[in-house]
Amino acid sequence: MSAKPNESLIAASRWFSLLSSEEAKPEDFAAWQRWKDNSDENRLAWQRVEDLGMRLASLPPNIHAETFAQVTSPNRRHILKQMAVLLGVGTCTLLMVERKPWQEILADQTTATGDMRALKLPDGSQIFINTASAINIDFTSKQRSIKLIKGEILIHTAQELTNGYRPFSVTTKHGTATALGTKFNVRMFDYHSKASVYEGAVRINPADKNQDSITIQAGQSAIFDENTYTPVEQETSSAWAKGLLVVYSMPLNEFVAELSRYRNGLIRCEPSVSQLLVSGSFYTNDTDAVLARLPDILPVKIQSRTRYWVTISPA
Amino acid sequence: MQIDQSLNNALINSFYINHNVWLHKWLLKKLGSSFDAADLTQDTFISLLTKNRHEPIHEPRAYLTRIAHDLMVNHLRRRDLERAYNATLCDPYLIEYPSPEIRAIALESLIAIDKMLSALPPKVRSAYLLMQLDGLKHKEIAEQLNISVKTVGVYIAKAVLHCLSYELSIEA
Repeated sequence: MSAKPNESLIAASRWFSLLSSEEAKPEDFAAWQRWKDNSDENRLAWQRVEDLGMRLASLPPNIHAETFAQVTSPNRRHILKQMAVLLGVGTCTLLMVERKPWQEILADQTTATGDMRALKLPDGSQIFINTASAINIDFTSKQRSIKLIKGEILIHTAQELTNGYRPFSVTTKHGTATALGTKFNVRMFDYHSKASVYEGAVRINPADKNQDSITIQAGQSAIFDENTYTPVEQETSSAWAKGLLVVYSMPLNEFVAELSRYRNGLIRCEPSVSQLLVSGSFYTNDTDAVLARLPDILPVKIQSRTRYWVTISPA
Repeated sequence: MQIDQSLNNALINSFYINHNVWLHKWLLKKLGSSFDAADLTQDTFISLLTKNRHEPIHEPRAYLTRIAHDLMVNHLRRRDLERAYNATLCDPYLIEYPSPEIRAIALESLIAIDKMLSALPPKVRSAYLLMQLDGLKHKEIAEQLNISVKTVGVYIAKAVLHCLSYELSIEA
């Protein structure tokens, strides 16, 4: 039997729900701040909300809502039962050895904000999935295809020696980037995608089949949407796969947008400082430290009253 | 106190002799595993011992079945969670396989969190977990669960409030 919740706990739960929404506005954060400062009970209740979030965040990264659903849904249970019968206990490694490389595989991979994952695919290719991303992996006897649903991936393709050549491609809603041997990065934005090549070359086909394809070489990038593509000289850094954000003369507002990808909550940059230029390498796994360092390199000050709401203003 | 205790023990002794055979059979029929049934039979009597009750038990079969049933539900849920967790480890794309120690800790926290969430309606639980564990936006959760974005907000608040109250009741 649960203890009777007090008013602060009820309010804290509602604030959490509101602030976790993509529709939360700056005014909401301000109102929440006022509520929190209003009493010790409110502060304490909010602390409990944060502790609860930490507790769930400490689960292994591959535990998803679905893991719990698997337990409750009778269908899932049945499937798991069958799997257990097929596999026996502790035969995970055996499964990997016996899986034929050309066998059709459909897998979903997602990363949470601030998360990054490195995976080795059955063909030996290495992929890195950046923060807040989702991909489907679809390998068949004819092709090695990855669908990028959101976010960013870096791919280092393996040369296939035993099975003959299967093209390796990454598809976004804007089009397909096919590897012509090699190392490349694909990032999806709202209205376009961007491919950058580090080794070898990549062919881009916009989603509209009537459009011609373009081939970009190592050191080049291309921005593409359903109908068009634009080659750009400057390539996107792949340093993110090492946990680094490397920028050169990037306006502060763009830098803040990049940093926000690795962080929950809002970072606001006042217009008067938004065009200051940032250069340097920053660790994305500790965005608090990056923000704390900004006043050392730029004439700005950081007001971070909460972890979720940070303002950068003139010093 | 001493007399009480020995009386109690004598009672449990006769209880065990009279009831352990049918209880084992009952559990075996439900679980299909003689080992699990034997374990849970012992657990049922241990639970009885630690309850330290003083008033006589009028309906011993019903009483024992109820304890055994509760233990069995926990056992099955635990087993399912373990399987679900192990299934995530069978991910062929996983590069590092966690150590037995890490696996044990992960499973325990999984069981504790599952217990905390078990009283919630499925959609409320899903909405909260999709946001917290999968990092989905409210809009995406709404589409996946086929509910309105507003309802997603209500569900998340409800789930959080439940968890906070639950944690408080555990601490109390």
